Amino acid sequence: MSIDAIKVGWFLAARQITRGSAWSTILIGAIMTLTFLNVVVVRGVLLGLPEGAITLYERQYAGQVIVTPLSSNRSIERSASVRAIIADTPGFVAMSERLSVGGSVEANYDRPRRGSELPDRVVADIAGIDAEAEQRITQLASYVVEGEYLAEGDRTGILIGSQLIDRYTFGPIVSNALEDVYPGSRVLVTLGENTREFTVRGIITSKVGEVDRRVYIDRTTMRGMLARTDGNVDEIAIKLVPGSDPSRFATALVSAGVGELAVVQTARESLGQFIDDIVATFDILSVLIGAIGLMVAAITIFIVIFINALSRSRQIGILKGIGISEFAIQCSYLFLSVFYAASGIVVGWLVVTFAIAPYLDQNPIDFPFSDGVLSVTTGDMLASASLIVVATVIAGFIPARRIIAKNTIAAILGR
Amino acid sequence: MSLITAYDLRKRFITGDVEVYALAGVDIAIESGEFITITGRSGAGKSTLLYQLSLLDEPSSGSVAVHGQDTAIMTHQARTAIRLRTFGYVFQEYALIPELTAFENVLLPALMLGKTTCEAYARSLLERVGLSDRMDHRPAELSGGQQQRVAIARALINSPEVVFADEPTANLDSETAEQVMALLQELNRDGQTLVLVTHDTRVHTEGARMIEMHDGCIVVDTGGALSPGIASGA
Repeated sequence: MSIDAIKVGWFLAARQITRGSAWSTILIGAIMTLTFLNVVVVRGVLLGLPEGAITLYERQYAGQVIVTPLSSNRSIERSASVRAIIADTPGFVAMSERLSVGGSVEANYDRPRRGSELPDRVVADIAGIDAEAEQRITQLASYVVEGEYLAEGDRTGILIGSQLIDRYTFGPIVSNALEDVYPGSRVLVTLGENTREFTVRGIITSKVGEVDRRVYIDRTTMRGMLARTDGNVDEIAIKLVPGSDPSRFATALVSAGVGELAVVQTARESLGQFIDDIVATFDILSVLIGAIGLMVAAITIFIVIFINALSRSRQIGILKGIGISEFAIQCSYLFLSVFYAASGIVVGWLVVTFAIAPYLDQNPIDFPFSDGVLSVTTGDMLASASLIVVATVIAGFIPARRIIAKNTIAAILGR
Repeated sequence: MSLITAYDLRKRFITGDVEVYALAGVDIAIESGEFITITGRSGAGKSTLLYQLSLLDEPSSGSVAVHGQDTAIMTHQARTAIRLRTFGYVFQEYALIPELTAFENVLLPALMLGKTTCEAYARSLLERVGLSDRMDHRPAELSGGQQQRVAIARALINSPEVVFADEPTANLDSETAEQVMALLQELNRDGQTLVLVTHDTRVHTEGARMIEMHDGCIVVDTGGALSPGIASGA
């Protein structure tokens, strides 16, 4: 083992690369590029699914930070004080204060029912909102697929989540959904003992379950129906300055005393263990798929180097015959393997950075519960690249060593 | 001390149930400066003898010593180092590396020794074999005779003590073969030790020492006898 042997290995590998078949080099490089993409992009998309779901949850429902009642309370204690603290905390942009109470919505109540026919009624989370404030936080108006958004001060209008409407539901999965409800239809909303008629202004659809199964009415109207005079609200979704750290903001709120009055969580925290479990599961899946990709890369390089070395066994015999050390010849195949791996990684890296990631940012993958984005960091790509290089070096070394170990004169004579 | 000494060399091949001795107990000593031609019919064992003497192959039994050092007890790396530093090779079918130019083919063994000033010598060798205008051509762009001359230049790059040539003219037309043989004889006149396997009777008559083989044994050796030390196995 010497520097000279390594230099000779490089000398041989460089000439084989530059003067060998360009097409075979391109083909092998393409295979390695696809391998890199398989390892990086598949993993990135899998991890991007829950990440996309979290982003949607944050954007369409919770804001970056959400404040909810303590488990012992039905509403946020001293909401006015909490509101003031939130507004004074650095990083704050806007908030949406909501009332949120379980109730029911009944449609087609003026239609005659057959004897055993049940009322066309669904149980739902009824949210009382300030339409303009909600729009600033969640852009709720942009999820209206039929009709229109609530106008400010609309005391009789209602927005209904599409999963409460039978034509939007997934068949028998949701057994009780409202039939024949369209913008302009009249529905009865019951909150406790109080029932009131509303006119459907719009139907909203969202991949966030909390939005898609919710009913929105004016907050003042709802407060009246509930006969609540305390001025408290049930949840506050907070929007922060872009780039702010939600954890830091949440901690600041708790430090300022909000923690004694309510539960303060980042959007991610409010999703709970469920989303962590999904991320962990997808991570395992991505590792498994990545491992398979790596094995494919290793086997590909093994075959490529094996065939290369086998077809050049006479040249290898000649090299050994004239005194080129086995180590130098092995080095040449190692350099060849690393070149193939590196070329695939470089091209793959460029494709991910300048094509796939920007494309998916602009055109997220449309999954039922998420807008799938590509969750890939530079660290992820470096780790994948390192693994591919290690796998290909091992896969290239083994066949080269086997062919090089062949008897010298047998190799020269092609026996 | 002889440059190379071989004692009771045997090489056995087994084909199915048949055991064949390509070398059946050969003793030989090669002195510095000799031009040895090894001849014999096909299957006589001449190439097999060359492979054992040049350390390209290992005998089934017996020993080959270089400057008195028994190569049988040497490591694989030590035998490779002898092939690099002490021996040069010219094979029957040119045996050049196709991706390398003529110049690079000649240069390669010197690079393995880490020689930093060998490029000029490589060029001078190619000029000497008449290929100064073909240095940057790859083997596929050279004629058979030109390729063999590149191979001779490569064999000489590390200034070996002995050059082994295995039927170097077998694939060449007679005119080119004569040119190659003239080159080898010129090298020998300059003091280069040469061991040449050939079936061409015109060649061996020009050699200073002729060895003829038959059925794995030396039947004629015009130059030599083993030194007493070798013969006694001392």
